Amino acid sequence: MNEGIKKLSRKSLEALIQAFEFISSPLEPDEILKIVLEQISNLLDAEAGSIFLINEKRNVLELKVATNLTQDEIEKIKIPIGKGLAGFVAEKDQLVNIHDVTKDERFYSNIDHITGFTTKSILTVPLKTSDKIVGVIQALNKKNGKHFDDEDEILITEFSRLVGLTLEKAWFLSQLIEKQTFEVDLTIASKIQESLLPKNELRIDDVLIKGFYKPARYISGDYFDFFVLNNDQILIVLGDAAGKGAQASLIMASVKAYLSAAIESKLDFITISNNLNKFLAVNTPLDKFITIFLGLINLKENKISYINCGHEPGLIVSENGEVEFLHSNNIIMGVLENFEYLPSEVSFSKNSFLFIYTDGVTEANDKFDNRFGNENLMKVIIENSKTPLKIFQKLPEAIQKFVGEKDQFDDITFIAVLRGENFLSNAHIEE
Amino acid sequence: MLEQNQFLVEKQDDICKIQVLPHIASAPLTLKFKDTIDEVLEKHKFKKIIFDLSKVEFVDSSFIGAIVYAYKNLDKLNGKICCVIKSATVNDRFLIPQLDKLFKIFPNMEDAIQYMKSI
Repeated sequence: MNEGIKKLSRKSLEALIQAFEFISSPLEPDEILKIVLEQISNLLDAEAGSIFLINEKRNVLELKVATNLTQDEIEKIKIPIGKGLAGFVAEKDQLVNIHDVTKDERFYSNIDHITGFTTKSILTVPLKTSDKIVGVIQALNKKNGKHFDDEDEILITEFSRLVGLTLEKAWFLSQLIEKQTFEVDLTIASKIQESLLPKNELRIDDVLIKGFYKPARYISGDYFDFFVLNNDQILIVLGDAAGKGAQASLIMASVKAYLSAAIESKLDFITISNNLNKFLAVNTPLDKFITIFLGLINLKENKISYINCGHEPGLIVSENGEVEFLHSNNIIMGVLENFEYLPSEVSFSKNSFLFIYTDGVTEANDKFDNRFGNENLMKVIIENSKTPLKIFQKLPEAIQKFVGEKDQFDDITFIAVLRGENFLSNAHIEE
Repeated sequence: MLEQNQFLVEKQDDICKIQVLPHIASAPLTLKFKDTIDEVLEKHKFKKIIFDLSKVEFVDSSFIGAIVYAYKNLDKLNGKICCVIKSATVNDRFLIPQLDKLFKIFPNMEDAIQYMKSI
């Protein structure tokens, strides 16, 4: 038993134990604060009380509960650390017992002006968890015109210690529950995001389009899609939003929504690109942009018109391993609102395939921060140029082998568009 | 001169130089980098910023996003940014998205300062 408690009278000790029993049942942190406020009055025979908690980011004490104040009034009261009586106690980590507040210039009278309450005496003590000061507790006006005495100081000190430890446990539990709830939400979000991607490969005549998607976290900023526009034309899309996680995935969900609506409206390829950029420039935060590859495949004319907006190069690979690079030919989207996007055109003959990927492929890194890189990617592509469907197995395997036990750094997404009976007959064999 | 652990912020006339000290500039660094940019823009009201990435050997898209953020903010105020980049890998990360259409990229600080003084 610590020295302070030994000095308490039996009556005070019993009151302290009872007060602790009230706050020790499993409660939300906010509920604990309300009960503590009630118990301060009971324990110390005080007319009123208040509890401030430290907002570390802003370096201020924020009032959380107080007798006779509405929630709106409570939310307005913030005291810088080091200022006023509460700020002094939080900064110096020491109890202050003032018998007459009119004689102490540290007293912050503004709260009295708001409530109409007249503070006469005040006992303020730091509120601490096991490792730091998290706020202050105040008892105001001892009843019957007395002032707070030595026994009150011990009582509030001991009670504050118990409150600090109880709050610490409650915050920990609250964070744990929040984390678990967040993980459930992320799992749902992940399923929703996957549902926005094509569920199956697409086959039309001698063309097969297939995608691969592996997010680094639950949700990702990568997006791929393919839209059949008519008998001759297919639009393929692969995009990557700057950053990772929820913000990036929401941007990509909006890209999907925009593209679906634009295609439904029969807009042409260039107009779709220009409008998508404008939409992103106006509607996304200033630090967000996307890189995106939009490819319009014309099966009748054996060509691809593409707008590569700051994305990794697309590759057109012949079955004998010759590679043509479709480099970035336009600026990223979401930055220059009125930029006019212009396509380039390349031939896309039978028995060749188009491969597009996000930088998560080439930037996959091992524990020494070595990157998988273009060289390793090209090795897998060329080795499998006769049987490109194998890339869907061989490339993830090669990346996994390269990174070893290191966690996946970025989202990995790629799509391949295979043309020609040779590839399709191989596809049947593999299946 | 103000060193904020990972960034060195230095004033030269009306130009602010922000040097990024770590070799890897990725998501964990981006938040602090954005805070530094905000401080330079809002508190010190600089309209010319040179991002010195000469020590950086890798940047990810979130970090580039922070530089784009500075560009967009200053563009509205007729301000300018430019970057100093030495690593070929980092250079590619700026050239593939065609960021050189938004702002200048220089191989050394002298050229960057000369450019900023000329505008």
